[in-house]
Amino acid sequence: MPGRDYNPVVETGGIGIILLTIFGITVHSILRISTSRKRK
Amino acid sequence: MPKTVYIYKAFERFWHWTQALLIFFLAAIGFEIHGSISFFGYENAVKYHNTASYAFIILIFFAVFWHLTTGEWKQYIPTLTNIKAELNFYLTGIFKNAPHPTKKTILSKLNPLQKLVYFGLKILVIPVMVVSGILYMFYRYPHQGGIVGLKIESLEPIAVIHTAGAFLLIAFILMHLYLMTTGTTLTSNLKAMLTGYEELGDEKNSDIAVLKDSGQSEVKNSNDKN
Ligand code: HEM
Repeated sequence: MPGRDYNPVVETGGIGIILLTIFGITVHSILRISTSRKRK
Repeated sequence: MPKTVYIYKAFERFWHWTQALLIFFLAAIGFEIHGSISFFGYENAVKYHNTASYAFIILIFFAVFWHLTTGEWKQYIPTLTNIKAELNFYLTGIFKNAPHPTKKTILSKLNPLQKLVYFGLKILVIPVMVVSGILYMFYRYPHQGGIVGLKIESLEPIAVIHTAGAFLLIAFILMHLYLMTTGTTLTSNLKAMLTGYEELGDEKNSDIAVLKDSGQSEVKNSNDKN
């Protein structure tokens, strides 16, 4: 469909941002859990 | 002693959760239209996406009215003050049990990072989604008898902007859900948005309306004598 074709920039950028977000959240929560255990 | 404070009003909670549902739904169904997932089937997905987007636009009208008439919009004015302290808290302080650098009060319920991000959402991402969505909706594909009404050369920029916005909103939702767990307890922020009540620290916050009864509370500050 005109204009609805696969757009590599949006697709790669979009999925990239989501993966980065998930990565950041994972690292942050691992750090939170491990440092809170140490404090106890 | 922590004080229980009525921080999120009924309309605010209704707006928050309805908006959350609608955005979840629009995002899921949008990505069905996009071709990433399949659930309802393309035609139904377009129909549901259109219906949900009308509901979203109506909700936005009510929310704008509420923000303007209650003065709550002022809470979203971004500020650079304490941005660094706030960033430091989430990057390092949170791992050392450091106190949160800004105190939540009724008159200032958002920290500087929230102000910035929510301001960006309200003023940029949501309007861009609504405008590009409406353009998308009223755009006529050239092979359906020409472009009626709107003189847009191509659907491409609209589709690209709308899709990019959808990715951004999904990244926001992921962050938002995670940061929700960084309150006093894992669920205290969630409870506050569900019930309206939150236990805030025992600081001498003159603008905190402490609830003596479970009825409605008014926002009071030190200037209010009554
Ligand atoms: C008032 C708000 C909105 C309106 C009016 C609107 C309207 C539309 C329309 C008309 C389409 C194209 C359907 C077709 O191909 O015929 C579309 C596609 C889409 N929408 Fe929305 N939408 C809105 C909000 C949202 C939101 C909040 C999200 C996600 C968080 C979203 C995600 C998507 C996605 C991912 C597509 C597919 C885009 C593509 O593949 O080109 N929309 N929207």
